[in-house]
Amino acid sequence: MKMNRDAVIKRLKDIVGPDRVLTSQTDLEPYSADMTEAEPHMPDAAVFPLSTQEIVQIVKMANEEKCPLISSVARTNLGGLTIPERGGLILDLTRMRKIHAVNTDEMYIMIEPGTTFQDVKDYLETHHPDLRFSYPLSPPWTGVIANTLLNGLANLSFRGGTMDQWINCMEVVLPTGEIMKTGSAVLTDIWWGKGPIPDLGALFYGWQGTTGIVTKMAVEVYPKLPYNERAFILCYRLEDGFDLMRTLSRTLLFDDIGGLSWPTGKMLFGLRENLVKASDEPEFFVYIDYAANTKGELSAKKKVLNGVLKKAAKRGVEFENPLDVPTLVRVNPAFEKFASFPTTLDFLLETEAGGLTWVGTYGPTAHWSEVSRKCHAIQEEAGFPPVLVSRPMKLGHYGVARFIQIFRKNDPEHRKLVRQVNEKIFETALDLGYIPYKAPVWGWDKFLKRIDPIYRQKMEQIKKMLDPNGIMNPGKMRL
Amino acid sequence: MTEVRIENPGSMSIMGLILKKIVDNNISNPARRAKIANLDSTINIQAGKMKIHLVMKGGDVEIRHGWHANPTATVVGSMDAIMAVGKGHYHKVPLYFITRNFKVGGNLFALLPLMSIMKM
Repeated sequence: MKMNRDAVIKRLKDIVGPDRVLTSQTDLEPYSADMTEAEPHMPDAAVFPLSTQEIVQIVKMANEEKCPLISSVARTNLGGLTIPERGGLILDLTRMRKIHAVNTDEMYIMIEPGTTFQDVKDYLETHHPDLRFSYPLSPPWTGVIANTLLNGLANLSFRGGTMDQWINCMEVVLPTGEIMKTGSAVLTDIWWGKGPIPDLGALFYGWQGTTGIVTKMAVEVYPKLPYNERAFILCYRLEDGFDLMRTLSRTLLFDDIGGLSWPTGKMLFGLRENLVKASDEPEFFVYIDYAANTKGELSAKKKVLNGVLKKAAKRGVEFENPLDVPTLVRVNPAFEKFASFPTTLDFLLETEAGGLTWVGTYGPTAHWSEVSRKCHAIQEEAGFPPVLVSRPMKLGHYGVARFIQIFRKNDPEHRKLVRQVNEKIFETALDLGYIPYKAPVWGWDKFLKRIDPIYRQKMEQIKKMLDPNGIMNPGKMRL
Repeated sequence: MTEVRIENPGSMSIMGLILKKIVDNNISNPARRAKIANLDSTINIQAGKMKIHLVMKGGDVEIRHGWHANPTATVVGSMDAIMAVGKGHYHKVPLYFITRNFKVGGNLFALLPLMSIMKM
């Protein structure tokens, strides 16, 4: 694909005006890379659209000029997914962050692509304090729609699964410049759900921005109950933690259940380097959230929790009784990061090393321990602490195992090492039935060696049908 | 000035790290700090399976992994039992004793100043 950069920039300035177009090396640098070890690629320009109509004009122009278009919000996906593999134009959607409406009857919020998790939280707390949203373990400035389209997860994913499951309807600018709606919005003005019609919304989530630009989305919100508690349970072995998470999932009583490996605990105390597990230290921390309509209901849930724990102890699961989060926060305010979401996660993001990367996977909970042990061995062999974030998903039907690496971004050798570690984890996880989400380009090379060929053929045909000129985030998913 | 140190913080258990924060928070209070100013004692603490010992000397506190062979006093309890004591939930302590979730040994008088720097 060849484009005339000067012509693109001139036409872009004609569409949005010169003030919302970036062209200098300095301005474009931040778009060329992310926190990961992914190879940087410079874009040719970046533009800040303010409306769907502007995006339509930009897409039409990009088609005529054969110019790649890469949608971008916070760039915290940790898969290098907004790095312009083949140059082109960054559509920086951060200024399209309007919250259009909250439908309190059908419980959804209608937002734009730049709307962040913090925006939604602030809006609900101010205007609809009886409703709540779900927040990922990622910074507050992360884009809701981006995380939703990339099959991300959030703290209510234990109940609801990946965030794409919560999409009701979308407005999408297709790669041809047409505007399409999905879900009930194709037949009514009430964006209440996907509707009893083919879910063409699936053409846009899980596609890493290669099939269209979502300009509006209605996504579910949930009732906020007046009483809630969060507790941490220190588990002496990884296997104990997974046992508890699986057992607790099946009570159907909790809003969130998650687990963190031991280095995370040390990081909360400001420690970053030379982390070594003490011989008697718990290996895994399980956290649980539960909410209730009354104090009695809360106390009943606590009673069930204690009953489950007693039975677990009898069968040899080793753990400490739950520690309530308010106490932990009082002792160490850094625990606040796990007390309310979204959270800044400065202990992962603001390191001297400067690099953060991961392999996040969804897969069978039956293999949780095995995948974790094997991937921890890979991490530790390369000198990385075995950082793991985990969660049962959709009431325990499957689980998350996310392996995180902090690395020295300015050290080419360390970048190379962390890539090797990620690749080994990726393969190991796949061998055990875990499928990485937000998979980077190199990950798709590994998928392509295993993927069902008919499925892949259909993916390519769909891509070709929707994006005949191949302008949408080209190269991602090897499309 | 009183100082709370940890020997090798990167390899200290989370119990030791929590304890350091608790002691740090308490010794910022001059009255509580004064209670340990003249101490020369070593306290073994076991919370759940995690063992540490506190060396208190000249007003300073050092937290070390594992147990000391010759402690002044010893406290053994489940993590939540020890936290309950720290929170001043003394009404729960008899139950912890009965259920054997909380045990003390050695010079019990040496534990009294410890209470003042372990408040949560």
